[in-house]
Amino acid sequence: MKSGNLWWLILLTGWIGWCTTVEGSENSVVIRPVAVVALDGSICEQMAVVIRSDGTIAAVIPADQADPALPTVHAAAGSVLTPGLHDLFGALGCGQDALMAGTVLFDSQLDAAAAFDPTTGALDQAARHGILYTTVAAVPSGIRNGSSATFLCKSDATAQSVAAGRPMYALADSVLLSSREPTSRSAMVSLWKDFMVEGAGKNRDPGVLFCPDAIDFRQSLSLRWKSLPVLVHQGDARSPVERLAGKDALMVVGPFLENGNPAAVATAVRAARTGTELAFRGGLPAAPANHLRGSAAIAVAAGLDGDAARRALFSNPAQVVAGHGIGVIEPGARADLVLFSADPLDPAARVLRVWRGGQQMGMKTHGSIRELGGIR
Amino acid sequence: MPLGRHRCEWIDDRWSLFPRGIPSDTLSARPTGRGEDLRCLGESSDEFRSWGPRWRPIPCDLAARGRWIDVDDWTAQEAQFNGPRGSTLMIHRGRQRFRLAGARVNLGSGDDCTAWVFFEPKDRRKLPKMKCNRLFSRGVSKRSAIQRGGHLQPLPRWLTLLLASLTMLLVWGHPGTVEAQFFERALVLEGVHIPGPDGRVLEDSNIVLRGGRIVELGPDSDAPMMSKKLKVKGLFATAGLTDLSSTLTLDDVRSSSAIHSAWDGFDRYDSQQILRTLASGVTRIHLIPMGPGGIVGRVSSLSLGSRDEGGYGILHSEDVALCIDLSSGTPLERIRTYEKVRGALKSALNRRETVDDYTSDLEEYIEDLVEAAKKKAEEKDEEKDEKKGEKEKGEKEKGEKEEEGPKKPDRPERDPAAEILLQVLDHELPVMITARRSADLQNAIDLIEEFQLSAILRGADEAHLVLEGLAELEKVSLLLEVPRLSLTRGAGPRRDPHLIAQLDEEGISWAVGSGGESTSLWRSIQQLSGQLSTASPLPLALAQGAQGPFGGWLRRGATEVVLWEGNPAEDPLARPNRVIINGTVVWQRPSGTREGSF
Repeated sequence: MKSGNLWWLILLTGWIGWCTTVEGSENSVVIRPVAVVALDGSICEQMAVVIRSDGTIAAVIPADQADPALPTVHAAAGSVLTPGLHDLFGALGCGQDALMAGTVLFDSQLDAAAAFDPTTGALDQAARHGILYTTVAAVPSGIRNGSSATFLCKSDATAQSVAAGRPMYALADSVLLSSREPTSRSAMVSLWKDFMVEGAGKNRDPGVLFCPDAIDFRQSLSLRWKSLPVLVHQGDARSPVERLAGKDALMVVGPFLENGNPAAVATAVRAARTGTELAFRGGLPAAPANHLRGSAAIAVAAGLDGDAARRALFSNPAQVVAGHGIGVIEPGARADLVLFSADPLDPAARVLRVWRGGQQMGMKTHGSIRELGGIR
Repeated sequence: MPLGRHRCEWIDDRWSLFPRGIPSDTLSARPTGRGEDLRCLGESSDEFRSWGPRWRPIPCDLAARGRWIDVDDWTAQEAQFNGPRGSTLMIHRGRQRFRLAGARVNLGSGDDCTAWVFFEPKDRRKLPKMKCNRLFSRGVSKRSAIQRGGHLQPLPRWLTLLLASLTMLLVWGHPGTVEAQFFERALVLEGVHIPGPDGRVLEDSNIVLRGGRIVELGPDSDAPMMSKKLKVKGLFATAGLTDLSSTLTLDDVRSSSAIHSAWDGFDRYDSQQILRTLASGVTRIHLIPMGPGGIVGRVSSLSLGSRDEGGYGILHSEDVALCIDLSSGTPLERIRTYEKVRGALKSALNRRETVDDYTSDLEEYIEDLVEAAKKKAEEKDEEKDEKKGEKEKGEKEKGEKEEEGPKKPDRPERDPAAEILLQVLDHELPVMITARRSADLQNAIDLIEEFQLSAILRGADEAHLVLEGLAELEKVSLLLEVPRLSLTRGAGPRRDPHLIAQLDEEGISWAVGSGGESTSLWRSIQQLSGQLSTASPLPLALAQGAQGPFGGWLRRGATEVVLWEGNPAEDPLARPNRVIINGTVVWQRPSGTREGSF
């Protein structure tokens, strides 16, 4: 190669590199130094998170390696950066009545997204408490109950879906219940066995299975699954959660409330000790705004490991809904982030800042004295 | 008569010697031996023979086989015993008992001496029960007897009786003290870390509990002898938490009168709920009665220790405060409740006036009675002078005069509820008013101002809206509960996130309660401490209800200890591992396999 061409090639490469650098760093923000919740639920200290202008995370690097020239958000000492909290299978963004499944045993057409109203102000309110995703699903009353839908918590004219819908199944009280019990339950199990051979057995996505009571859970596990679905289980002392050992199961539990059912908490802790991954179920807007972290704190007090509780708050709910790029802080993931003043499992921790798609939202505290005085 | 030398003979590896007081007729007349295998050799061997079948051989040291025992002249009032090592000569003379261990003893004179010789093997369990041994052990210990030259001096009977009486008195009078001093072993928590108020941690400390109370704590504390040790190395020890607003086990209990006590409704056998509460580190609760609204009953204070009779709960006080609920029901019902409470307090005041009137009327009545009695006495003297014929007439006049006598005032009926309300009005009993919304809080403020009450405002979620009114009150404090943040506006009373800072600014004292089963107390305190400048929730938690030996930082005299798996002053995820109340482990975190198993 001629030296002139080589020179031109070097110049071209340098220009492309400069352009890339400038384009990449333009409007980028780095949050540092901050502790970050990792994928395994542990907390990594002294990190920096670079957010691209397109609303994704560019890098998660040690704080001293971040480019000092970039615009920086200085995190308060002791603060912890987490992915957004996820309100699983609550009714945030839609009324409870809108999620009724009807009376069909196999309803694959039902889409919970149709019931979602993105204009409701409760979405922004939830975001201020760190809850950035909501997954809605029809109230299960048949074997197949349509598909779930997951949205970003943002009060806007249009809904922002962040995960594809997953098929929702149920082995529980159903439309058959009104006929005869226990005949209807036996019929349900028979139908399920047929469905396993014909439908679900061939389906690639095992979906999410509602089995709230111990008997539902037991019968669910007795079916021959090719791959175990995500189990949504309320839990009581009779739940045979030990059978999940070694099955890489994912179970949705809760929500746990103060003065609630202690057997449900104990079952969740038992399940976690067998190696089952947990995800906390949401309950907004009826439940208290901090109920997800409350569920985690109650479970930790009952014996759940801290890292497992953080996974159940952040990364595992994303796995439940098969969401990609949500629930984790890693390069390429959505920059839906929450900055807590301390470990999110600490009941004293407060939400300091919230980013949705890389955009920091205003943290106006709801309920100022003057405002509340006006209500009276 | 000289006894001479007697030699023991071994038969079947067993040995005994029964040289008995001379003469031989006594010997034959009073066989006191126990072994059929006994044979003695010596000058008087013919006089000895095997005694009856009641004899039991005494196991002894084989090394002593064939040794000679010198018992000199009994009649010379002196005997010498040169038995082998470990052997003992017991001489029984009438009611006196002597013991010889290679020493001389003055036996005195007489023919009624009886003597046994036996060995004390090293293993005392092999020693059969023997009359001489048992008698001997009643008095002075063997060691002291031997030290004193082998003499056993029985205590005088009067001294024995005196000592026995004193011991009985001590046991009956102070059974706890006696038990604690003589029978209770100390409990030692070894290797615990103790967080202190200055933020420092006393590492690898020992906590010594005796009689249920901490008697010593710190790194230099030694474990007493015979103490019971708990393996709790690495755990953090604090005092138990106190929940000032608990409804533990009162789910279905409703009360609606000042005479009702929350303690009456406490289910001390609901171990599931109580153990859950203990598992959260709470050892002491103020039990709040629940009712439909208005005056609902009295608050009780109790410890969650286990009871000897079974169950849990040791009552500390039944009259902590009178509970008034102004927050239940619809707005109209709440207004009616307020009027009802106001009316009850007013009627209590009226009753006081009635009682005062009755007291003064009673005094007047007594004075009138005295005067009437005097008059009656004077009239009786006059009557004595009158004729018998006029007796009937006099009796009529007397009857008329009696009718004209002073009239006894009617005593007002007893009203226990009003008496309790009067205690409230006299500041002998504080009042706990449950009010959450600003309107209810304003009602409570009016009530406190009108009747000058010493009050605790429970709930007080919207206290920031009536802060000025609260600041003007003198004897008022707030008892905050778990804030429930809601997304929906107007769903319930709203707690200002900066309420605590505002209360501190106004100088209004406040505390935190769970308002439920008490399991959420520690989390509530942690949550509220986030609004404070203090870095740790522990000082706030321990300051709650600190009184006497209860609550506060761990110190001598404390009876309730919570052992945490992490440092609760620093680690927000720290959780209790064991709870000790009155020296008993009342709750212990089960192992992973047991927890929640069916």
